[in-house]
Amino acid sequence: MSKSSLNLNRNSFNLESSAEVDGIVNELLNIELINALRWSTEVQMRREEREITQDSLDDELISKLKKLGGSIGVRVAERISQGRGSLGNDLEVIKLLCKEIWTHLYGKQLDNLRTNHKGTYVLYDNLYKPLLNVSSSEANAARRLDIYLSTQVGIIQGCLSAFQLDSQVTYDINSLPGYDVDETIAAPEPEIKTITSPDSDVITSIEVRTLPDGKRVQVTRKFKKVLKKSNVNHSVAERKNWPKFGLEKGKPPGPDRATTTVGENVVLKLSAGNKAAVDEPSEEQLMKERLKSKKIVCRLCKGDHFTTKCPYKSTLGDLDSAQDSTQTPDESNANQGTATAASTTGKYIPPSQRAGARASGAGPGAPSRDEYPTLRVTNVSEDTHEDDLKELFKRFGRVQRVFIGRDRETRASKGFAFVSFEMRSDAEKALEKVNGMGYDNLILSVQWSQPREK
Amino acid sequence: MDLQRPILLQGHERSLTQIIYNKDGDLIFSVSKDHRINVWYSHNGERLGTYEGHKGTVWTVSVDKKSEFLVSGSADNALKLWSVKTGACLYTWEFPTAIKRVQWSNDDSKILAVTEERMGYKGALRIIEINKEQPTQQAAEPKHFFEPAGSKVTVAAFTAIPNEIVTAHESGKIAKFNYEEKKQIGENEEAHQDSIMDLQLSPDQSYFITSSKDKISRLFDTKTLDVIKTFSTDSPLNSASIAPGSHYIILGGGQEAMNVTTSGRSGNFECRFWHKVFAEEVGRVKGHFGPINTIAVHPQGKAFASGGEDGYVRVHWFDDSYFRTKVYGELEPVLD
Repeated sequence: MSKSSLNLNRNSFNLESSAEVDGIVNELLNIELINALRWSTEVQMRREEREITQDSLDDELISKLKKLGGSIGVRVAERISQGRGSLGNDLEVIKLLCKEIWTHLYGKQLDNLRTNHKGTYVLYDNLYKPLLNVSSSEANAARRLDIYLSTQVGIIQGCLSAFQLDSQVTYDINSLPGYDVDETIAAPEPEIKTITSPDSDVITSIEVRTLPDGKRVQVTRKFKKVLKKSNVNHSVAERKNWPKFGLEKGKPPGPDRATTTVGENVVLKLSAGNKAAVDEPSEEQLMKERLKSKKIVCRLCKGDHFTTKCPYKSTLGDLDSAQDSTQTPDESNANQGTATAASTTGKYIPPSQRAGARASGAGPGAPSRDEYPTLRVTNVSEDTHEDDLKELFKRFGRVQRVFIGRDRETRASKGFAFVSFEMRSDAEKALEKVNGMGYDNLILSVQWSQPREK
Repeated sequence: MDLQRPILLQGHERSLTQIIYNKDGDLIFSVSKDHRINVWYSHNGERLGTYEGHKGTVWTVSVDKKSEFLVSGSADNALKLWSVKTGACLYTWEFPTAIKRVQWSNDDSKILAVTEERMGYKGALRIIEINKEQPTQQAAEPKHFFEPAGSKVTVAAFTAIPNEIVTAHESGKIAKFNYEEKKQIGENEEAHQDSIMDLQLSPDQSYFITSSKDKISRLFDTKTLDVIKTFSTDSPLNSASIAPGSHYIILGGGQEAMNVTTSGRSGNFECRFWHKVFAEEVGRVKGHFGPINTIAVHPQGKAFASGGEDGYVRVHWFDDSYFRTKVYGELEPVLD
């Protein structure tokens, strides 16, 4: 177990920065950054013609790492404290550090927090990740730790400075991971057991690994060994012993896993009959299958597909064919029948359609304006002209009249229109199709027109 | 019925252009657009070596019957003769345009080279005599050279009859030429509707199979150039091969590489097995991520290899059930 405690003292200063860090990056930093930075520091010191010793180099490196950590810390703290409002006092800040920031950086919370209430805080972490891979058994471990921890110290300082707290961070390590402390932490070698039984051709290999978090994983692989013998002619046998050449020159015999691998099992079903007939369902069909239980109604043709997939959406001309294909003559007859049959079924029938309505009208002879089956179209775009609507609706039957409601002064469209057909069946068809249709970026809404108040 | 698990050969960094087996079926040669020729042991997929020297896409490769000499044609306008065993380049011919197809003659004394029509040069056929005694001393000039009129030649092959080669053209026509007399001795204008991509002869060379971009593969009689069978599929075909020892032919293709990303549906990147006699599809083998550019069948019909636009070669060995299965039961004709 690695235990480290960090003592923090507070004051206040500001730090400007531009860097970002995430949990995993932090771990990588310690590995890659230190070497890279040590090298560049050495070059820089040489250029400035300063004396280079191991110590002076390390000191320079540590101060650089701290600065870097500081800028990272500010970023992390700013990200985490975003939208949290100001924190009341130091303790709040330290608590935030212990919980959120620590989790963000090291994937776990701090284990313990102590304070003397005079500005000194002691943070305990029983499994401090940046130290997991440092071994105490190596020479001058302490010096190396200074370097390894300087980034982390910088990060904590940076975090605190983001909250306007100047701090001094020191650390104290109780124990380092090593063979003598705990075997599970010191990166154990995986044990691999291979079992070969002489009777069978199956080779079993069992690999036991311990993950850094203490979990044991056992991987069992079974191989079946099949020896294939074949008689080959002399030249083939000779060719098998040729030395390798070209890029393979000097490579040992046997397939190289870089260039030769074994693929997944492939099934070849040989059977009579045309495969095209049992082709895999297309994506569209699969989607349909998946959505079978859900109710999807096309706004254009009332079919069971998305409006965007509607086969009739592209042109208005297609509306003609739509009504033929989606509505059989039987259905349209049935629709006409509803007008008379409806009163018995209890379904709402617009007054104009009710059996009595026509009879109570102007009587025989030329029907008045209200007598024509009229549709009230709303959500019509302002640019729509009477002729446009006529063009749209005449596909369903002869249109008797189109009226667009306009402002009395400006003559601007008010967004609704009345369309009168000569035939009720045509109007019904139009109602069915055009209601919900997209037209000039708007979705038309069509209802039966209510007769004018008498 | 299962195939065994295929062996994946990953020696190329770009799409495959041709795969061939040698006569004994123990070696596989593969060429690709990455300028490299690879040779593999077919039984375990081990790479024996590479032939380094081309500076352009290697379009085609051919090996003699004794597996001593290899010829390859490339887009760097070079035709190279190699020692199969050592990988050394023995001789290089330079031509004005790229070499699209090479083939050894039946007696291994000559090679045929088909060159591309480009930069004012017409597509040409060249027959080159090979000096096997002193492989590094070759005649620089081809023995026979002629430029067929009309649509350019895409693929060509020697036939069993001396001095005769069969050619397939970009227009979809197939023809036969006598290279000694430099004249056409037969043609079938209506062979295909689109460019013919591949032509492979049957083991006894009495018939051959073609595959074309018009989604159709056909068997032709080598003597009369008449259509024997037609195999009509739903995607452009890049390669077709006759599987000896069975009644099947193997077709490979898929939508063109340039269209793969623009069409949403899966591209039919499967090797299709068709029954040669009944002309019906009997099975498919999946695996490639892109169009299949080339298919080769083991000379004894024990295995087949396919190379795709995805840069992989997949080698499938057939198991016993493949040879036992009689898809059409009693109707199946008896094999020789």
